[in-house]
Amino acid sequence: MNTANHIAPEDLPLIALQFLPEQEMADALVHLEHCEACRAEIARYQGDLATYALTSEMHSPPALARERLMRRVAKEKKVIPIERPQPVTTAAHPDEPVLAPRRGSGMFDVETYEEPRRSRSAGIAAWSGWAIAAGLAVVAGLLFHQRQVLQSNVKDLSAKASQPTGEDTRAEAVLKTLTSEGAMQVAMHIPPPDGVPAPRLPEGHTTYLSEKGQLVFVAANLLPVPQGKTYELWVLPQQPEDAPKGQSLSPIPAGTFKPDQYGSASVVMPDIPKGVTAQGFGVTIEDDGGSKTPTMPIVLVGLSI
Amino acid sequence: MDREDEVLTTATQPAEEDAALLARVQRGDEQAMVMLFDRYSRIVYSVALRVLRDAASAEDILQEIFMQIWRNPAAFVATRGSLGGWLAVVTRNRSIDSLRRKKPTEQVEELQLAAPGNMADEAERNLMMEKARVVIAQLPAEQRKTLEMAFFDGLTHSEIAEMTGDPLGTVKTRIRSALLTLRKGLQA
Repeated sequence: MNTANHIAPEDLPLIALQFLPEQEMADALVHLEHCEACRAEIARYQGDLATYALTSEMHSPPALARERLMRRVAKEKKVIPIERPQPVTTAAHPDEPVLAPRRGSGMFDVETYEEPRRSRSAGIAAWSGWAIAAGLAVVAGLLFHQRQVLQSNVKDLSAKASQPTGEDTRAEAVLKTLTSEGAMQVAMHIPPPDGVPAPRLPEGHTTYLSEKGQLVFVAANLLPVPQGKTYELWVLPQQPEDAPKGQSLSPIPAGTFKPDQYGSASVVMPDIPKGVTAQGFGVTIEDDGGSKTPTMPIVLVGLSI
Repeated sequence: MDREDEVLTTATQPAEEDAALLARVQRGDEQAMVMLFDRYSRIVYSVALRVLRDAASAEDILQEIFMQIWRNPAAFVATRGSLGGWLAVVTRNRSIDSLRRKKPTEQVEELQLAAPGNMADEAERNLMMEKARVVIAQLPAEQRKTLEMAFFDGLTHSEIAEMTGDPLGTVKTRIRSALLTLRKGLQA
């Protein structure tokens, strides 16, 4: 593989593509550790591959992907280490003898063991050790008892939690009715006076509880979306009165949906932030996967009165 | 402007350097993660989707890669090159590993990446995209196909040679020539 102590030019892109067999790759990496020229060439190929990656057709990730990520991020909060000032060490004069470091100056000081000196207080110290041990034994016993009680409580609570309440069962049934593919959905209107049915226009109904961020959206008579497209629901936030002119709160994506064969669709409990006062709701057509910002035109809109 | 149009206006945010955002992530700043996600999620998701051809799997890769940044932003050092370029390459590698159900390989990702341009800047990135697409479209069909099979389909040079019946040396040369032409085309 190596020619004149360098990696063969044809093999350099293969390393960047991770195509070399394990042993050859290991050899190449050893060579790269010491060869600046080959390393630079691999870096250039990595850059070429990054550019080539951009030639793939661009798609926006699903609208809720960011929220999902940020939930995971929030779960893994970082513990930021506190930066401590480094102890200032003064260089010893060349003629000075080098002294052993003082205790407590380092982060991990090694304590030297010294033979204990015999004194009159040695006997008292020995008895106080037994007293402490006895005290610890009592504390351990108490802790064990507490743990048993807590474990028993946890078991009881788990058993209660696993049994669905009547309210839970009803909520589940409501959710299933709303989202079931087999559910019949009929929009009702005033019957036409002449008996001739009026053309069915797309319509949507949203029920929204802002303080809990809970939303149910049901739509009917929707037209099918083109291939690769989807409908997306947006919460249009109420603009604060004191907001500077020209700056407005962005619409919040509230889920994508596609109508079934009858033009019906629903979005139930999408992942949206709590406490957003809505000015209204809108529906747009976006690329599959949804968008972070709405694309005009709005196909359905409803503003609060 | 209609009332509906007015409420759908999106505010723009000033750009911040990748290195500064990574430093903020290092300090546990979640807002910096949001900004990095908004800047690069489209690239990461699109590359993963191109390789895996499945939206759910592509999002898994997207989540995995951004969590990697959150957990260890120091793993990306400024000297390694552009964050956008690194993410594009790592996404491809992770997606191929996922296709092959292979344990992620870190070795190559630890190597440097010569920044192909400023991918943090959307306008510059779009320009690079357009240029790269033009260069790739002008490549000889065999070179274009071979590079596509290698990069997006994750077929090794040996597998490509076996599938196409071309000699191994020819496959290697095609991959290298295609990448060199792309490099030259972008520098022009």
